[in-house]
Amino acid sequence: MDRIIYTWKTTDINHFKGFTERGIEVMKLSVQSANKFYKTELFCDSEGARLMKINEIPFKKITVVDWLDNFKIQNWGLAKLKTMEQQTTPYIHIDLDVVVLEKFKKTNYDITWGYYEVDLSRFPEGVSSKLEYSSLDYHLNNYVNNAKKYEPSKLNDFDFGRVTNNSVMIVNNPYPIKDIIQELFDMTSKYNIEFNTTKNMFMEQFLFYQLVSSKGHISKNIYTKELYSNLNIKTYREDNNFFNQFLQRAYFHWDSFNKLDEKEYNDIYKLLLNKTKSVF
Amino acid sequence: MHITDYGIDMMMTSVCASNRFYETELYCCKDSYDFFIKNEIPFTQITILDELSEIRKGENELWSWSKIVTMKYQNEPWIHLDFDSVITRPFDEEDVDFSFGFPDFYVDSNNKSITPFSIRHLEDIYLFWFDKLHSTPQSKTTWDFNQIPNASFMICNSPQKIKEVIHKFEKDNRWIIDKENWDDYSTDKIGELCCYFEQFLLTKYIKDSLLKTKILKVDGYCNASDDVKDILENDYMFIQNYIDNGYFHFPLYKILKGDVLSNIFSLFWKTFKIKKEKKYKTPL
Repeated sequence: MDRIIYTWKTTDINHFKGFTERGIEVMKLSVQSANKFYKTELFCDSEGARLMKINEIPFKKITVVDWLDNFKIQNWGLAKLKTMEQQTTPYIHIDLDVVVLEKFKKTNYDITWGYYEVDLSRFPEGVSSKLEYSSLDYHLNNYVNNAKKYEPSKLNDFDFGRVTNNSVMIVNNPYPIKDIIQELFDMTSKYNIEFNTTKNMFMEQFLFYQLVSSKGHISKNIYTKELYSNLNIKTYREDNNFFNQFLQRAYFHWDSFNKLDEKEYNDIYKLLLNKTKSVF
Repeated sequence: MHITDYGIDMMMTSVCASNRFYETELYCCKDSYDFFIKNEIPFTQITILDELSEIRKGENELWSWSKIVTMKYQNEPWIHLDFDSVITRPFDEEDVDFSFGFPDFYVDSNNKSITPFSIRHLEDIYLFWFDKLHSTPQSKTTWDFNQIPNASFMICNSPQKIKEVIHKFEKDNRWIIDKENWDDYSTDKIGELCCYFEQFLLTKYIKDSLLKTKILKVDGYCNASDDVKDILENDYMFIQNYIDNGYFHFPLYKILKGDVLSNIFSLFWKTFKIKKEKKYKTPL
């Protein structure tokens, strides 16, 4: 496995992590860090290619593709799946807010996700050891309520205990994944056009994982078993050492960079920059 | 409260089954005392508590408050049963302060417990009332919603410690009982509030007091789901599985068909050696 791929689709909706000052800094950091270990390639629409070039995001290769230029769906999570649907050789797909800190260990699974965004079974042994209202509320608003609304006839088939996060996906066997994605687009065709943040997450993460799980022939795994594989700001603010554990891992999903204050953002940015420089 | 003949059958079953292993005692209000006497529900003892008699009556009575209040009158270890809870063997002794018979919502390591039904149940009862009554930025990230017990069976080995817990519980939550201006939707969910009180909130207070708690069994709870209802309506003898469990909760009696219930209660009379004639005096 020698390639990391990214997806960018310019939408009518301003993506809050897009081409802002911090967004550009984090995208650069992500691609620089991935370049250290992999050949990076961005699949994007024409406008995305223009923006990436003028902002000097250092991809090894930028490929403008019709399937994204012509992609009419505003839910950008599905654009990522569309890129994956087109792949015919093994790949790692990461988001532009993922910083790669070491080469990913080889896996033999058809698909490996970076981490579970929701894993109710882990709470008894998790960081907080409690199943908190805030976690449940997040799960209900983003996944459970959308499942009830959009796929009411399939509720009994779903595993509501787990939802994968799609920021890192290692795919060794692209063909069955391609089939799943086609099935997902067919399944969601009646409701996938109109943008909605939680529906976007529901289709991209929850439904995709459920469909993969429903096929016995597809082997799947999770790369990082620890909870809080992304930065929980509250915990970060309470525990000075909390962030250090991320630096020991293969990657860091910095999805919260826009929510940090100036000092917090700069501190983490410097640490990540130093960490990535030290391995360059 | 509307009590049917089947409701009295259920009470009779519960009390007669318990009498085989324990002394039974009912704590009640003045108004209900006559009802139990007239129907000859065979408690070892019946005690009228003034405090229960003074609880506000109305359409939206918080029945679980009475259960909780009763606990503070106990000086010896005790077992509290609902009227639709049945014991078929004595309980084993447990080295904990407080045990519950079954969970109401819990998360297991392989996620089998997380079903659409359980998620909806959690939302309808616990998250709804938490949001209404106790939601703060702090409680949202500190209160624990895992391992919520069902309060149909409660076993207390440390009555003095529980008394202290109940006093604090009452002090903090009395305002909920006294509140009258519920909106219509909340009024419709007063039954859920009762469950929130006795299952979620009480457990939180017990755990916060650092008492040792335990949920005795995960399996064997005869829940009121359509699945179990369908099974029993096809084969009432399936109830034998619950009898064999050692204890079971049977709220399903409220929704089963009459002929199925008649068969089930006949089985109960035989199993628990209950001799009775059905001449009940239900309240008007």
